[in-house]
Amino acid sequence: MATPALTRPPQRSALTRAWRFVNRDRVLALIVLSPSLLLVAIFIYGFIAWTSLVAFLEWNLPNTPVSIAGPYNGIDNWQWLFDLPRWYKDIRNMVIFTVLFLAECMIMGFLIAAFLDQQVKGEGIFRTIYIMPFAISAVVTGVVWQWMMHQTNGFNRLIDLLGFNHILGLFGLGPFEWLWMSDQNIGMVAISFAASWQMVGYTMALYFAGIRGISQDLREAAQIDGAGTVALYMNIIIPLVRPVSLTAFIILFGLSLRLFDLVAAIGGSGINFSTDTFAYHMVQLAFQDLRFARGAVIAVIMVLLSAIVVVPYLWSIRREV
Amino acid sequence: MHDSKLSRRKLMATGLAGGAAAAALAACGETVVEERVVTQVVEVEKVVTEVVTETVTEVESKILEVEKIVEVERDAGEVEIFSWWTNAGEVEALNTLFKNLQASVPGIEIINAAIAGGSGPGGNAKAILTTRMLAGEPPDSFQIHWGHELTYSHVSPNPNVEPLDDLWLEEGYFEQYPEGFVENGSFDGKVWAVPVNIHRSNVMWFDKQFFRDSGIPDPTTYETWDDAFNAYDDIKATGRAPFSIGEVRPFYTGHVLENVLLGVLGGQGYVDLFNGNSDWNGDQITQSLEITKTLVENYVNEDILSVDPATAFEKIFSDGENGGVMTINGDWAEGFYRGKGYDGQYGYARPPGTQGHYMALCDAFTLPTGAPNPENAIAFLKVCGSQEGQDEFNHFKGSISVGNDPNLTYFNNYQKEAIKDWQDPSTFIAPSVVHGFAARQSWITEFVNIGNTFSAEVRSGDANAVANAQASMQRACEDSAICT
Repeated sequence: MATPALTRPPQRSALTRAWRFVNRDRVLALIVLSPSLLLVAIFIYGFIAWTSLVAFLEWNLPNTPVSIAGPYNGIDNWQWLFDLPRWYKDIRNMVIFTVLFLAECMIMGFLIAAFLDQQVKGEGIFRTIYIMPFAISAVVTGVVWQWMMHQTNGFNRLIDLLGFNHILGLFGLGPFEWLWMSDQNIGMVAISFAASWQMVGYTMALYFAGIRGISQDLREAAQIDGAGTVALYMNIIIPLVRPVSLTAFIILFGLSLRLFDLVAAIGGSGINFSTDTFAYHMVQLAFQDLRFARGAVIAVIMVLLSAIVVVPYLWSIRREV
Repeated sequence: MHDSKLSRRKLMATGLAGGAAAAALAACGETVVEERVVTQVVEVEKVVTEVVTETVTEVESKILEVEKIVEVERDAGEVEIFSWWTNAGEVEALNTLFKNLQASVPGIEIINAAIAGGSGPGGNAKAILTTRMLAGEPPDSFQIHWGHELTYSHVSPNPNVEPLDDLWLEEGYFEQYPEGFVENGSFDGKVWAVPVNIHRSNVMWFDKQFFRDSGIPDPTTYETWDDAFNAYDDIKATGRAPFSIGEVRPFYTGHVLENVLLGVLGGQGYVDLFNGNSDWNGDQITQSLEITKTLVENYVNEDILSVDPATAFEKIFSDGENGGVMTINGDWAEGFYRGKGYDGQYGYARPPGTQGHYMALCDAFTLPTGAPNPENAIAFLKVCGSQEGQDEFNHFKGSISVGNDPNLTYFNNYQKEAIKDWQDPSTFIAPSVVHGFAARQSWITEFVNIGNTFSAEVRSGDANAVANAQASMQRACEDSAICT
């Protein structure tokens, strides 16, 4: 078999040349990837496209036959949503929640990571303890925190049992009786506590990996130059973990935007929509009230909002590579 | 293998040899012996035959029996029933339906697809049902509130449940159920579900002991809300809150509000709000909202915005001075109070102005298009619609039967009184809005949300609460394509 090949020099056909041009590896990669590409194309981009269409359809009654062909009702669904007082309460809630949640997670996460970095004894145990809430489902977190932030149980009761109310009384201050999420004004603040409790450990893990990744030489160099701990963190560590901060920001922002399960478990839209979120409103519209097109409007707005943050991030990563 | 063949051959040989020996014996002329042997052999044969025949018949009959069971089980198949009945009382009630279904279709396998969260304005259960219906995977039958919730979630404009007129005619339901009730739940001249119970929404529950001790007139004497507020001032003077509401999530204010509306507008006026004959801009709506405002502003428990409904109606007995003395809630509260051991302590009356009215809500079951086991679903619907099925069910559920011939031994005194009102032709049957009879699902959600915002605004002293609520009510009506 090998002999003729030896005697005759290999003749490259046009096909072989084309094959080489296409690059075997690339074709193979495409074949291997195609199932998942297909699934992503259909189940993510295909459905985003369909939802975007639905947002303009006349589809606010169940069992109405609709298709790509229509019937469309222009911007009626959008008009309806932007006339709705509840929608503006949602926007207010989402802004409050996102700001608080990001701040709580990133500040607390960084601080805990920084403390753990001080060669603490039993570091592994602390790491596990802090990251544990991340392993608990949001629904369980919701139920637990609903109880912790109950008007007469949980924190309020603990504070009373520890005698703080007595001390407050000595100063002429009323007993500590927060209504937490039942308070129209601080409902979202209470929700952000529960959400951060769950995600602080995760953020801590991100930062911890980042801090540990910083070369020891840099720290020593800074210390030799006379930098104290605060200066070390301000000038060396925080700037160097900036990529971690960006990643944490993107992930946490995405999470806060689609906040649903925690709110649903804690008590739904709350008093006067004080804990209503985009996702909760969307689910209620689409699957309880059967106003599919209106639900789709909120879904599209959510996709656009997350795109505003994620797309520049992906772009920056692309440039780096 | 070779060995066994050989040995069998050997055996046969021995047998032949034995036979030859017997023949030789007979040939010897020993007839007596021969006869004896023959009779014995015959007898033995007889016995053996008898025993064998008996055993065979026995085995055969057993096989037949087993086959029968197997056949029944195979033919009976299964049926999946979707409901939101998961609480005490509800589960026992649902189980009586299942028990009766098993009696009528032996061997049927019942899949109980009950998911919590569908009562009142609804939640999880309804959302899950929606996704299943959209995916084309309906259960064999699902629970739904009779009335507009059924009509506009599943019938109009394109039904995803089957019309059941044939079943209704066959079983005589049209004669057994009140005409107005049937009309309210029909669409396109057809019926689309089978009702199983009737709950009453317009009941005012109160602490009997309190009124005995204080001498203040109790709710049975309030003709109008002014009467009620006069008594409330006296109740407040004793240090107790007159009225309990739990509005931590949207529901309770809406429930009170529908009863205030019925009391102020009267039966026909109330019904007209939901059929497009009148809009929500009228003075009577303003008046109803003002009454509710007065109630929420001055006469309710201080923690109205932080307790849930069940806590609110238990507060009457359990919370001393913080708890209200009375509340308005549906008659499921009766079973709840009995279950909590308040037997004999609660009294009940009609909310002011709703005397002679029956604010009704009704759970019904359907036959979805494309149900996997339609025959079994029909068998289940027959249990739901039958008088005995309903009587047994409602004994546990605390509601009453829809049918006109209930067996009163199943019902307690409260229920007997409710049955009397239900059967009374002069009673005006008004459909409840927060429980899906009067309005479609999206309107129910809007209605209870408006109530929630209203209570929150009133409690925080917003002067525009009434105007805001009325504008939202009108908007919700327009949005449901009822008001123009």
